[in-house]
Amino acid sequence: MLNYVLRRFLGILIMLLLLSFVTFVLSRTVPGGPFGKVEVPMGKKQLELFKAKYGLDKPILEQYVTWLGQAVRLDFGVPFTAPEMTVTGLIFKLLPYSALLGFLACVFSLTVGIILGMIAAAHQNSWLDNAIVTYSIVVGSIPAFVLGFVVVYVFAAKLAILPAGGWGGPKYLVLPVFAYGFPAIGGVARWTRQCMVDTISSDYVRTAYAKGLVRSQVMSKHVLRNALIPMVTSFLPMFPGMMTGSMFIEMVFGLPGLGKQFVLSSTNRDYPMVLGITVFWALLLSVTYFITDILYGVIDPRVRITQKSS
Amino acid sequence: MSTRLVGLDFNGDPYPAGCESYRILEDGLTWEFKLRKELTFTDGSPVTAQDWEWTMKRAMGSGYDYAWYYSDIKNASKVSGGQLPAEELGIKAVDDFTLQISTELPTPYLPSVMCWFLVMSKKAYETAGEMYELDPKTFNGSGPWTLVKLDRATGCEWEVNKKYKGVRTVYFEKCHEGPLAGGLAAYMAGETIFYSVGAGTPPGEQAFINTSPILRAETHPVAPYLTDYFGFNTLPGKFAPLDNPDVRLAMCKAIDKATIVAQVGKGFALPAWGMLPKGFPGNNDDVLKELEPNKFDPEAAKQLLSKAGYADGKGFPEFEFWCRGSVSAYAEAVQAAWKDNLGIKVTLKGADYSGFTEQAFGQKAAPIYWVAYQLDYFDPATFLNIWRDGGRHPCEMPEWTAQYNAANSIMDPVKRFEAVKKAEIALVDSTVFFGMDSPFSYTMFPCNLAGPGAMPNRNGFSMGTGGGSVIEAYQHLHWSNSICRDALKGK
Repeated sequence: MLNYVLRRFLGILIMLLLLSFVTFVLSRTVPGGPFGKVEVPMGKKQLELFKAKYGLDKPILEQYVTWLGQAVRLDFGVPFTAPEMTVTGLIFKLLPYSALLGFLACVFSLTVGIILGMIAAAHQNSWLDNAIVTYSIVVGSIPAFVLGFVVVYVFAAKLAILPAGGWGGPKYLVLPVFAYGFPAIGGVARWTRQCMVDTISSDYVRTAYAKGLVRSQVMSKHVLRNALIPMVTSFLPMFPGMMTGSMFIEMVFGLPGLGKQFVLSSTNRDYPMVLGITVFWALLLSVTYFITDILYGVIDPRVRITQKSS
Repeated sequence: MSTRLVGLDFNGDPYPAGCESYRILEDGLTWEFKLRKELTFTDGSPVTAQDWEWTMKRAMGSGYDYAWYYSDIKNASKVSGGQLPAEELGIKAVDDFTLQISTELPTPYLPSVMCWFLVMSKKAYETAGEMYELDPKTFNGSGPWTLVKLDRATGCEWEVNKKYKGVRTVYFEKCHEGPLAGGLAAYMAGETIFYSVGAGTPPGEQAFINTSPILRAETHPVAPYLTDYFGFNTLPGKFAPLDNPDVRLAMCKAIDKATIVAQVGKGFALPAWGMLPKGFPGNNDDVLKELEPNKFDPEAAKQLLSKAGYADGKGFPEFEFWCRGSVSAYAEAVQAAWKDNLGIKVTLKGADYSGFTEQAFGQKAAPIYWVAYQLDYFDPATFLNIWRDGGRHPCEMPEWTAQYNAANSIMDPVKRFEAVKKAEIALVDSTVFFGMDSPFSYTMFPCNLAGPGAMPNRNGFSMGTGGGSVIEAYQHLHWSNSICRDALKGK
């Protein structure tokens, strides 16, 4: 197991190294630059002064080695667009907003989606199953930002019971969490149903019924536990995905967050910030998948046996 | 948070802001600004001519990305280009409250140019460093607001600067500048007090606004401040035959501008017959629209192209047509017009802002480019200065530059405008560019927002909400006791 963990960590490090190198080189070699967002191009001398100030006058490889030397000490530089902060400081300043929004939306969509999926699976091919599947397809097709505008219109503009946006307290999160999490319910419900149905049709479930176990026992001890394996691998990465992918919702509801910052940093060619967020996201996803794999083994003993034998 | 040397009123006219008066000296090249003695920084120290001089010299001498904007100032290009030290820049403090700015040529519109010149505190810079304005502890502004909190997540908080004795009228005691909800619904909920309606507004939303008497009454026209155009790279031999005026004229005459603008602009754009948008000072649409490049005539276009040796487009190189941002629907329409009417093919390429600037204007490597230009102040110079040799465009027009400079330098405003109009005619006739459209929009603000800033200006346009980002918005505005909005919430 230790060997496996070490190999995975090494893999993550190599991946981060490659990702940072590719991002670093690509962002700096595409035409234009952080100082080109003007109507008239800057003169040579002005450009030289800017480049020297931000260390962009050196060869790209040298810049990368310098950046890497600082990055291993968790110093990712200073954002061009927020020079009074560090990249790390700004990421961790904005992360809590995106993380809280994404986490709550995830919990909301998983809770409702799993329950609906289980109900559908338990009543497979019934009118209830059909209704839930249809509902989940329709819900899953609604873009979160469209729903955002709708709920703002109803609850903020017409009913005036919730704020339209901004950041201030729990009531400010109700609409964004709903708009962000609601469309995700469809996918969660369908996948849960699929996993449960696959498991229900297994031989060991038939055997369990044959042994005389009641439906609730079969569902909880045999079906749900085995269905959890594919569900965990799919749903756990939802957390970092939703915690970092809320750009449109952040825009619609005027929320601070990393998603919006990433887009702004990209369009402003804020190299240190783009690289910092990219590496951070990659790290977050890698660690999540790593944890998922570990949990996979915890949930399914066969995985541990396979690893031992290999 | 800082004071401009000159402000622009709701009509776009310059007025003394950081100064109490300005005048041109007898040499015709030097403007003298008498500063307001009562104006102070937040720390109580007076705003002096030395601060203004130091601010400009520091910017121009240390890599300022908008240095080109001040190219009218004497030695500005050489100082920003590193050929001369900043001390040689044409700006000097005559005494503590008298500032002189010298220009290369007579520049009658210089006061308007100075609407973007904001003063910094030399003392604060020297004691707290270049980021002194980003920290409430070291903040030392000269405007009506003072920084209380800067938070990159939730925004800035400002309080009225009680020591401020300038000309701006501020009704609000506190101001929070942070992320806001977007969209019409947030506007209706009163969470945002401005909403813009333009060609990009979904048709359903436009219909919704039109069916609501309140929302419709809150919709006010905003003047067109921007000209969309495409330009040809006419540098000799670089992208032949685009250096041939007949070829360019053929390509211009193949475009049915009025129809394209009506279709693509969706009622939110006017045809651009030159560089100055309709309603802008010096606009000469009535004359410009009759010029040959603006007359749609596909048969004449074919003959011109044939005369240049490219009958039916045969043998004509397939050029790249670069667009700033995503590929414009206008550029697609032009592409189709050239293909249908002349047999010419072009490849459309979209590039982000900086990538486009580098390709089209830095490297001058885009054969044809689609771009927009927005005003910085209300004078023809804001749109025409960029066409002078040494400006951004990939063309060389020494004769036109001389004609324009001579016209632009005339101190008599009536004669100057007449001469500048002739220069614009020559510019359109040169076919180095083809004006396509001037988009306009409507701004919405609540019916219970009152004050001079909420009134239309002399041209009928709403400017108090930050027209074209030039006017200092949100001043001269206050809430009234009107209940006109209650019906929006069903009360």
